Amino acid sequence: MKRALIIVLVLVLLVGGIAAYYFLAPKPPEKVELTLFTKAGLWADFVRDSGAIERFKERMLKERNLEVEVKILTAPHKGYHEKLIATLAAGTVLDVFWVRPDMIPDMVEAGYLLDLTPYVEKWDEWGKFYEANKEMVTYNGKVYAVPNDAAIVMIYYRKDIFKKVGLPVPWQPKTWEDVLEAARIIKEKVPEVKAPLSPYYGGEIQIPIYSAGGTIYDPADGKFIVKSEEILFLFKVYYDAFYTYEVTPRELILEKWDTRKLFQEGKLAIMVDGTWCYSEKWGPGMAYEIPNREEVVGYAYIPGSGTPGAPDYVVAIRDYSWAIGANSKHPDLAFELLKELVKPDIMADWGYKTSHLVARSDAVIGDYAKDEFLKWNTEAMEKYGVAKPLALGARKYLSLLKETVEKELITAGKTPEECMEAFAAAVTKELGADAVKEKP
Amino acid sequence: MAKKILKTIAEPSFTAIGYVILFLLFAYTLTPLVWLFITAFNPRGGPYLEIPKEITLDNFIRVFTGERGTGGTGTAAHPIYMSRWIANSLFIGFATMLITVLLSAPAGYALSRLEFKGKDFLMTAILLIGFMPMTSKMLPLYRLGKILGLIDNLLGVAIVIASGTIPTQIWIIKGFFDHIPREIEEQAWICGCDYLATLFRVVLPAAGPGLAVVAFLSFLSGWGNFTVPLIMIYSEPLYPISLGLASIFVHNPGEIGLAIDYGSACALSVIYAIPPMVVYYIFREHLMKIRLGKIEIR
Amino acid sequence: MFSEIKNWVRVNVRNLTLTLFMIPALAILIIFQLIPTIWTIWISFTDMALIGKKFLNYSFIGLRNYIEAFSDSYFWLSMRVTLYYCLASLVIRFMLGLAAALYITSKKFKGKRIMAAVFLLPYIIPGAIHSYVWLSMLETDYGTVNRILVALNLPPQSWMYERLTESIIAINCWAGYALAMLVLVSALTSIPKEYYEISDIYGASKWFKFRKITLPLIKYPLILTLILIFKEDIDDFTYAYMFTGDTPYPDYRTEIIALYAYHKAFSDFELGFGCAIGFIIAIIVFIITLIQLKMGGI
Repeated sequence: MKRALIIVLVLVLLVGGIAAYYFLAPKPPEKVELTLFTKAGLWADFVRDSGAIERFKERMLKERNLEVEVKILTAPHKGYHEKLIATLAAGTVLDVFWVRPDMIPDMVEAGYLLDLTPYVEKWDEWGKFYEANKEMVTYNGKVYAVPNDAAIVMIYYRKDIFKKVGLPVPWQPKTWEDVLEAARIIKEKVPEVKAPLSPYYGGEIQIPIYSAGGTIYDPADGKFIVKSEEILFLFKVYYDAFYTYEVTPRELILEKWDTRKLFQEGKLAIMVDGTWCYSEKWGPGMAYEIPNREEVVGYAYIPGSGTPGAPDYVVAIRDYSWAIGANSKHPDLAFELLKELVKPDIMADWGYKTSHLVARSDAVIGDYAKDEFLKWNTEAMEKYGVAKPLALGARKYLSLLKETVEKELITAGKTPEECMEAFAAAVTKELGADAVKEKP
Repeated sequence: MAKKILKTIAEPSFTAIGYVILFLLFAYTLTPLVWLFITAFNPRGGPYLEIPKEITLDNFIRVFTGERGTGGTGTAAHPIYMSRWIANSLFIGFATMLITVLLSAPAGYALSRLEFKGKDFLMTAILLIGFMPMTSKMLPLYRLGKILGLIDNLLGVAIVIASGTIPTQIWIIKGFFDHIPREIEEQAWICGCDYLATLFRVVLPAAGPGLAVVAFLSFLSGWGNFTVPLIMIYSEPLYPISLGLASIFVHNPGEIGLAIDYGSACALSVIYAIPPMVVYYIFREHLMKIRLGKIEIR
Repeated sequence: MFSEIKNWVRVNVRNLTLTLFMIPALAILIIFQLIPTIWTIWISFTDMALIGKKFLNYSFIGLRNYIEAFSDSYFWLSMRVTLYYCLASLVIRFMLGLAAALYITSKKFKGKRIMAAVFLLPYIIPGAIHSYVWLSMLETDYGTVNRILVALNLPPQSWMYERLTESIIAINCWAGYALAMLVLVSALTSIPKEYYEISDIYGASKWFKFRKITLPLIKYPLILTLILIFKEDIDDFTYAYMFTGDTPYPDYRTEIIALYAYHKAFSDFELGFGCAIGFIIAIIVFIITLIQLKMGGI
């Protein structure tokens, strides 16, 4: 009897001990692997060196007792998007990846992207992001990505040439006529300038539409605008630059001249281009270095059209963002990683190192905040930034617009009215008659 | 008489023209490479040819130590993995070579010796089987690689590249086997030699130059291939040099990309060009035996 | 009787061995070439796109991609560029290769080994480097070519625009002529010299020797070289791509057909259409290869 009792007692103690150990002792952390897909070289190096992944791992171990391994997958810069799309199309699981926001609508329709709306709603820092940048990753009212950086498109001008011909420095054109007029004066007085004006940057060709207070897409009925006063204004501006004022040689576009190099050599006086040029092309040690950059390179806002209802200035935003794959097995973990990747200090560091703008207001810190040029850019974006509408077909619409400008206007020399007709026909054919409309 | 005069004038002038053409061919071949070799030794090289004031080996050292370059505030890629890329390319090159030789030599021999109905059809089919452009096949190939577990796998890359080179190599090697008179092996066979022994003792040595050509060409296609690793390799430590160079040279206008460290990129390119030359040097005797003084085609 | 059976067994063992020799190569070809090709052909009959709604809800549309391609004026523009590009490349690559091969095999010219190595240099240097090397050559203001032209008091040319198609052909030929040289040299050197010695005894003329000995013996590699060159030219758009980028020139001056297929499949993401163009390329290659094979009597 006594012996049986002892045996029972030992057994109970044993079971209890094991149970206690099982419930009370620290659990060995569970192991999880996440994949992060970005461009090789600079981009992947930055993610590795920024410390974001270490912070994420530490936090996960502490908060969720998870041992997370982040595997960095890459593709070279050239061919990145092809590889990203092919990878997703083959059904491979990518947890976090680097994506260009204008691809978002098409990628959502193909079922590649996870809807992040429920995650950002619970994230207190989401409110810190600039409205325009948030707009650029929101499609059909849902958020599909988190902005990592931004850049704006502006007017660069050569201060030395401006001083030579007696134009004011600093210079801020109030209308597009001011821009064309300045270019005309330069053409007259400084013949060695091969091209006084480069009127657009290929990725943001739609800017004059916004200058005139127009838009390309009506979110109310989901239709693209193919004919309007503002679109006509765009063709007129470009027509004036190439033909009326003859301040832009057609070869600039037809021969794909390297505008950044021409600008460096002083053979191009005024150009529309993005933030990145200032450091990446003309900065110290870069391919087209301008030694006394601060004295030579001036920058200004792109003006409005001057007509009533038009904005004073137009600042077009471009950016890159992080998205999460729709087939991710650990979407909440992936989002936690994403939060670390866009922390203010990391974003400011990236912006300063690569001459890109930050996408959130609390990231204007450190070296980034001290840089004159970046400060000017950030303010411009905050004040005047407009986001391109994120709609299915917008990518096609804009590429058709560029095609029309280059084929009909520059190559064939058609009038603005004819160009608009051709453009409307091309968009209607490509997107369907129900997806487009005319604005009286 | 007139013929003789013509001959005495024509022969030297033909030779002169020959030397002129030779010079032009040399200039055409070598001028583009001058930039590459000079920039590799230039401490501050750029995209265009410039004669450096001083010569340095730092660029080469950077490739192997993985230090960052000094020019510019930041460069598009830092050479942390460069030495690994070289090893990966070597692996892919030799694996492709081995697979191609081991598979196409027997097949070429069999096609040379066997007579069967539909042989011409099979030969043509082999040549045409891979004639769909690579980029169109990208998605199917990727899915296939995923099913077979060959993604992010250097051996998988070598197999896929080999599958692309095998058809033409079978044709080339078959041509060489066709040139080996059958009588040799038939005699050996009649003498009672084992069939496989005949192959190894008689046929293979005679096909040596052909095998060398196949080995050389398949090494080249493995070593220099860009598209297949682009589809199949994801991790930077597993990049071959071709992918690595594409991630260093960032040229697209309008896209983000910092200054290129031309010095170490060119040094890597020079290193990239050396192994094919070594392989060529090893096989050169077989590639073209310059012993046929007797052929005059003019 | 016994020896007959023994012989029968031996012949069959030999044939079986030879058949087995072909199996591994054919297996690799079927898995990595045939299956993706058939897969691609199937995609070409659908309206599949890589992004957008058409990725999930694509449908079988029969020949519509092909009809669309043939009624597209850009397709024909691209075909014209392709014809020019391929024909010029084929002729130049072959002629340069032949010239180089003759230099190497002739006895007149000294330093054949070095010559051979130099001629092979562009071919064995991996393609990933070619782009940067030629960019440094062709740039309008700083490019080596124009600097040489200016030094010779010749007008500089706009290689990057007005003569862009020719520039691309020049790069392609530069990179590829050694292939023709290699095959031709191997072919020339593999002709047994006894053939010529015998014909010398009979006092045959040079022309007779060329026509009756050299030509028949090098015909096979000759045809193979032409096929290889043509396939490479129509398939490989690396050089056209690097001077074009992600969107074609407004007048399609560099848009060879393979690049057009690539732009359709991966810039516009219309995979079905891109694959249809890919299949059209494959058919063109198929037809031309057959013609070349028939002409060669192989």
